[in-house]
Order: sequence, then structure tokens, then C-alpha cells
Amino acid sequence: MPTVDARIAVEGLFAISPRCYGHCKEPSGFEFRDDSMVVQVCPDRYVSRIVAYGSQVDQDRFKKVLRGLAPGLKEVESSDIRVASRYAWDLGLDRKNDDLIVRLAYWTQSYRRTKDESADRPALFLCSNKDSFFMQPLNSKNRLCQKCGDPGGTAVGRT
Amino acid sequence: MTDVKAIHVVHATWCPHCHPTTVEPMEKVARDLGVPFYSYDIDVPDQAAKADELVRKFGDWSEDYLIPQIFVETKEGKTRHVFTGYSESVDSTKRALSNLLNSPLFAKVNPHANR
Repeated sequence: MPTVDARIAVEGLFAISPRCYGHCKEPSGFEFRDDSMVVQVCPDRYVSRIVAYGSQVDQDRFKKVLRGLAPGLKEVESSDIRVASRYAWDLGLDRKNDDLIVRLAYWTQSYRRTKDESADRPALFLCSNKDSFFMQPLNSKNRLCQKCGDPGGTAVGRT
Repeated sequence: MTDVKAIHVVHATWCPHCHPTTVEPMEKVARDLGVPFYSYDIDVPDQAAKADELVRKFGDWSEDYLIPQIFVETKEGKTRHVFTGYSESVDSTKRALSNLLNSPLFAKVNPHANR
């Protein structure tokens, strides 16, 4: 559970709209999933980054969480995760001590060049209902996962 | 933190968070403070070894760690990690570095810094 300082710091850090990375270069936003994770998504719901945060972050645990998000992420490795400490001084906070405020662990989709550079390679998206991650071709325009986009369950190949 | 004795920066020449966002401003700070400035390019084998050592011992270590990372050596003989680039955007790195340079740590070179 992050401290109040950490939560406030993270809310400030991610109140920005960087360009989508690895997909469309449109302005993207950060959405909080829970008390320990924030997701960068573009208007098409492509996931550029997933960031875990807290007073400490467990890289192995984060790797397991990532691997469990979608079948296509089972190959996430430790080398795909990078960490950063944020202190009062670089956050611009007025503190007597230059304390560590929050630690972050970043996973960036498409950070490493993949063997598959095709426009329809599998990629991670976040369903517009914000409940679930799903894989679909990079160039797909579906903003809903199969389950939400087809509540009647008539889709072929639905799992 | 006590006075700065030297500044160390781990970087890469191709990284926009490093150049011109971080390395050049920190080099100027070192010059203004009159302290040595050491930079370590992660793509130059000899320098990469030192960079890895600094990051592993004092910084934000992961197998493919973030750059830039800044370390301050103090007159007490301690080395402290003080900054890692902001993966989310170069603008975020730029803003955070400005905050760092306006903090009491570097007050000597910026008389308007918060004390």
C-alpha cells in the first residue's frame, strides 16, 4: 500500500498526456488501475506503459503480475522492467528531508524491438470498460475486449 | 545533504533524456560549483563497467536500467543517487531536473533555490 505522499506524487507525475509509444503517437493518458498500478493508454486503448508504484516495488512480483495480464505477456522478463526512485527534490516537494517519496517500476510495450515488426502483430490493449486487458492485432480498432464487445457471447472463438 | 564534492552522470549519447536534457546542465552545475564532473556512456565498454557499478551499488538498478542517473559524491565521502530520468516523457525529465537544481542540494549555484 503506497503512502499518502506516494499516491499524491504519482497522481501529479501522471497528470500528463505524452504521445502514445509504439502505436499511433496520439496524446495518451494514464489510468489508475488500483492502489499500485497505473496504465498509459491512447484513444485506441493501446497500452504504451504499465507502471507499478509504492514505497518499494518488487520487480519479481510485478513481472508475475504482468505475465498474468494476458496470454501474450507470458514472455515478459526481468530485463523488460526498469525502476526509478522519486525524491522530494525532483518532485518539487517542500520537505525538510530529501526523502524518497515513491519508487516506480516501468514496463514499456514495444520498448525492445521484436522479431515481429508486422503491423498486425499481437499487442496489448486495455478494454474501454477498464476491467480487462486483451490482446489483438496492433492495427485493430476494437476498443472493447471480446467479452465486453460481445456480451451475448456469439463471437466465434470466444474463450 | 552536505556539500558536493563531485557529480557523476550515467548516460547514452542517443538518449534525449540525457542530451541535452540532463548531461549538459549537470556539467554546467559542476563547473559553477568548481567540482569534478564525471560522465559514463553506457555504450563505451570501459565507462559502462563503471556505470553499472555505480547504478548497482547506489542507484536504480535493473538489468536494463533507466538513464540518465545522477550521483553526488559528498565531502563526507558518501555517494548518493539523486536522480533517474522519467521514462514517461522528456518534458517530465526536464521538469524534474529543474526541480532538482532548484532544491537545497544545489542551492550554492542557484541563489533562488528553496532553503
